[in-house]
Amino acid sequence: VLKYGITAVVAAAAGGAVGWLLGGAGAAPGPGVTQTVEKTLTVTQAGTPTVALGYRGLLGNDMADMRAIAAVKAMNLPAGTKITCLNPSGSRGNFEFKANADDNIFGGKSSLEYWKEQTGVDVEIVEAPINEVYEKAMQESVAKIGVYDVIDLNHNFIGDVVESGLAVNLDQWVQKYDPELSGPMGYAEPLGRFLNTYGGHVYSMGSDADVFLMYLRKDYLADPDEMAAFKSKYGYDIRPDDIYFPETWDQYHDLIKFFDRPDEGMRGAWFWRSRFFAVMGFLGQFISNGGKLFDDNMNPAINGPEGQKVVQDMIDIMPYMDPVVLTAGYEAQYPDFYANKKAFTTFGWPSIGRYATDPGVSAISDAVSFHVMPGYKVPGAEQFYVKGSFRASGHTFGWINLVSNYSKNKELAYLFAQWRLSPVVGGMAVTQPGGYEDPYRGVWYDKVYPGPAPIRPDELVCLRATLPLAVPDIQLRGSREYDDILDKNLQATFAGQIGPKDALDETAAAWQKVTDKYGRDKQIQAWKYLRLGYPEHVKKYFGWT
Amino acid sequence: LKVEAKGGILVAPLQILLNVFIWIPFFLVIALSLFSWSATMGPNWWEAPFVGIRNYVDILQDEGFLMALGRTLIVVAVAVCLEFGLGLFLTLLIASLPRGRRIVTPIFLMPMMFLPIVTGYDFFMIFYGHGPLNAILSMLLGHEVMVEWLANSTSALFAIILADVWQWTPFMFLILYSAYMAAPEEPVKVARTLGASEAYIFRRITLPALRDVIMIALIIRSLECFKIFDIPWIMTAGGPGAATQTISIYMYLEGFKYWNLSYISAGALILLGMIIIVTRYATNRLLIVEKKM
Repeated sequence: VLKYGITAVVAAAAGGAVGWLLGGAGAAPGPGVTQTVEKTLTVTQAGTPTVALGYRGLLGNDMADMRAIAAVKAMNLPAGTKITCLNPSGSRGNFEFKANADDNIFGGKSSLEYWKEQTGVDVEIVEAPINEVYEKAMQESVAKIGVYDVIDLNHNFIGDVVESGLAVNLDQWVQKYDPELSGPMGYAEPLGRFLNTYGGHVYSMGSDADVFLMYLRKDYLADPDEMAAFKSKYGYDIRPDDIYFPETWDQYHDLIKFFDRPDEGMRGAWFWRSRFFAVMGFLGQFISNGGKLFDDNMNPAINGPEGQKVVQDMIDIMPYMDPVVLTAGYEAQYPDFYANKKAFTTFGWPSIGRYATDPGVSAISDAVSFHVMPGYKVPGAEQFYVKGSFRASGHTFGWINLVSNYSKNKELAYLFAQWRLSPVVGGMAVTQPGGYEDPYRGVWYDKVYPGPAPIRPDELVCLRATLPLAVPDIQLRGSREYDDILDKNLQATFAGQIGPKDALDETAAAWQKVTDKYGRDKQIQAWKYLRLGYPEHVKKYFGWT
Repeated sequence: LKVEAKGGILVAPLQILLNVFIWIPFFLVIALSLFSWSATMGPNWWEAPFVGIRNYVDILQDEGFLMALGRTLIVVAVAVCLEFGLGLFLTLLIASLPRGRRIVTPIFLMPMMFLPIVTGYDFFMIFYGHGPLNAILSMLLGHEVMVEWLANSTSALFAIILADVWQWTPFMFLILYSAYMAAPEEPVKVARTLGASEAYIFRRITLPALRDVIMIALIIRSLECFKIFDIPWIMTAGGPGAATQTISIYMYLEGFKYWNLSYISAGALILLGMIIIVTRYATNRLLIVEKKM
C-alpha cells in the first residue's frame, strides 16, 4: 500500500521526467492509454508489448527513483558535491551500468552518468574486498571521520552498525520519500523486514536476495535408467522437474549417496565444511529441523536434540564429498560444481546458478536444475509444512545499503540509495552481469521477469519460491562473534576433533558470555524483533508473534 | 650555541615525532585497557565504564587466549630450533664448498624474499587435498592418497611450522654464515695443527665464536616467529576449529573482527610485558657473556 504522499514539486518534476523517459524509450506511439497512478502523477503509458514499455512501464510507472532525483534537485546543492560509497569489490556492475537494450531509461548513458546529469552530484565508488567491508565500516564508526556516505554492508552486521551509532535511522526519509520498501512494489517478505529494519526502525535498504538454492545435475537426475535404479533402491521416484524435490534432507542425502561416483570423478555433494563457511550451511538446516537459536531470554537453545541431529547429519554425509571441503571455500565450490563437474549437487547463493547456466564458464549449462532447499519431518509441525516438509533456507551474507552517521550529506546519501535501489533502477541493477546482487523485490518476478533478466527462468522460479523461506543470519550486536564461535566448533566436529554435543554445548556456553557482555536485556529485545523476520510458517510453529 | 645544543635542535623534530607516534598511542592503549569498551557499543571509549584491571584478569582466564599463547610458543620453539639447526648445517655445508658459494648462497636466501602471504598460499596448495604432496605420495605408494593435511590439528600445525622453517631458515643461515666467515681462522688452524678433532673444534672453538650472533639471531627470530600471522591465516585461518590459532590470529579476531578493543588492549599489553621480560633476560645473558670475555 502506497501510504506516503509526495509534494507537488516532486510530482511535477517526476512527471516531467517520466514523460521524457517514456518518450526516450522509443516506444511506438500507437494506441496509448492515459493512466493516473497513485501519488497524483499523470503519465502516458504506451499500450505496446511489455518489453517495449521498459522497466517503468512494466512496473506501473513506479516513481521512487524519480522522487529521489527530484528531491536532490530541490536541495540546490553546490557544484562539486560528491558522495562516496563503500562497496564490496566485484559489485560495481550493480552501481554503474547501461540500461537494458530495450529500455532507454538513462538516455544512453550509464546509470551514474545519468544520476550526475540529473542531480549534479558525483558518486565515488570505493571498493573493499568482500570480507573486509565490515572492518572498513567499523573503522569508520571508531574514527567518525565521514569517509563514506553510503555503505554497502552484509546484513548480518546491522546490529553492530546500529548500536555503534554508524547507521542512520532512515525513518523520516522513508516517510518523506517512500522508497517502496513495502506495498505492491515492496521487498519480498520476510526479506523486507530483516534486510531493512532493526529493532523496529528502518536503518538500511536491502540490495540483495542471498537465499540458498539447491543445485542438482539434471543429466543424472532425469536419466531414465538412473531414475529406475534409484527407485528400485530407495522405493520412491525421483522428480527431476519438481522444484520441491527432494522434500527432506533424508531424501537429499539418498540422492547424494546414490549419485556419488568417485570412479567417474564426481562426488555426491560439495557442501561447506571449512572455517568461516561451516556456519553458513548450518543455520537453514537447523531451523528446518525445528531448531531455535535462543529462547525468549536469549539462553542458547542450539545444543538441543534438533541441533545435534543436524550436525550429525552434516557429518554423516561427509564420506560422499571430496575431503577438500574441509579446507576450501566457495572459490573452490563454484568451479568444482559447474566447471570441473566434480559434484552431483551443491547448495548456496543464487550466483552459483548464474555461473552454472553460463556456457562461457560452465560445463553443465544445460544440465543443471534448481530446487528449493529441503526440510525435515518435524513432529508437531505438520500443519506448517511447505510441500512435504518443514523447510527453511539460510539467507547469509546478503547486502544492504546504509547511510553513515558521519556523512556530511546524510539526506543526499539516503536519496542516492533510494534511487539506486528503487523498483525501476534497482530492477535493472540486479540483472547486470557485472555484479552479484539478486532480485529482492517480489514485483520484479511477477511483472518483469523473465525478460531482460540474465538469470535463467527456471532459476527465477526456484528463487521466487524460496524467498518466503528465507531465514536471516544472527543479526544481533556481536553477530560475528556468535557466528564465529559456532563456526569454530562446527568445523572442529567436521575435522573429528570433538562430537556434536560437545561442540554445541561449547557454543552455547560461549554464546551466553557474548550475550552477557553486550547486555542481556538489549540483546533480548533485538532477538525478539529479529525473530519476527523469520518465515511465516516458522514463526507460527514457534508461536512467535 | 654549543655543538651539543645545535645537534639537539637538529634532531628535536624527529625525536618529538617519534615520541608522539610511540608514546601517545602506547598510553592510549593502556587507558583503553582499563575501560569496558567495544566499537560496537556506541559511545566513545572514554565514556565507557571504567573497569580497572578487570580486562587483564579476564583475559588471563580466557581459555582461547591461553591456548593460542601456548600454541604459539610451541610453534616458536619448534620452528626456531629447526631453523637454527638447518641454518647452522647450511652454514657449515656452504663454508666447506671449495667453490661455487657465490652461486649457491643467493639461491638459499630466496625463500626469505617471498612475502609471507605468498609462502602461506604456496604451502596451502602443497598440502591441499588435490595438491602435489598427495600426488607424489600416491605415485610412490601406488594407490591414491587423499589426506587433508590441513584439516587435522597435528598435521596442520606441522604444515605451518614447515612453511615458516622453509621461509626463515635462510635468515638464520645468512646471519650465521656471515659470522662464521668473519670469524678468525687462526684458532681453528692452531687446533688442527695440535691434532684436535673436527667435532672438538666445532664444539669448543667454532660455536663459542658464534655465540653472540647465535643469541641475537635466536632472539630476533623468536620475536618474529611469535608474531606469526600470514602463514597460518592463509593456510588454515586458525582451523580446524581453533587448532592452529596463533596468538596473532586470536588478537586479530578479537580486535578487528569482534571489535573488543579494550579487552584486546589488555591482552596486547600482557604480551608486550612478556616479550620485554624474555628479551631483557636474553640480552642480559648476552651482556654477561660479553663481560666475561
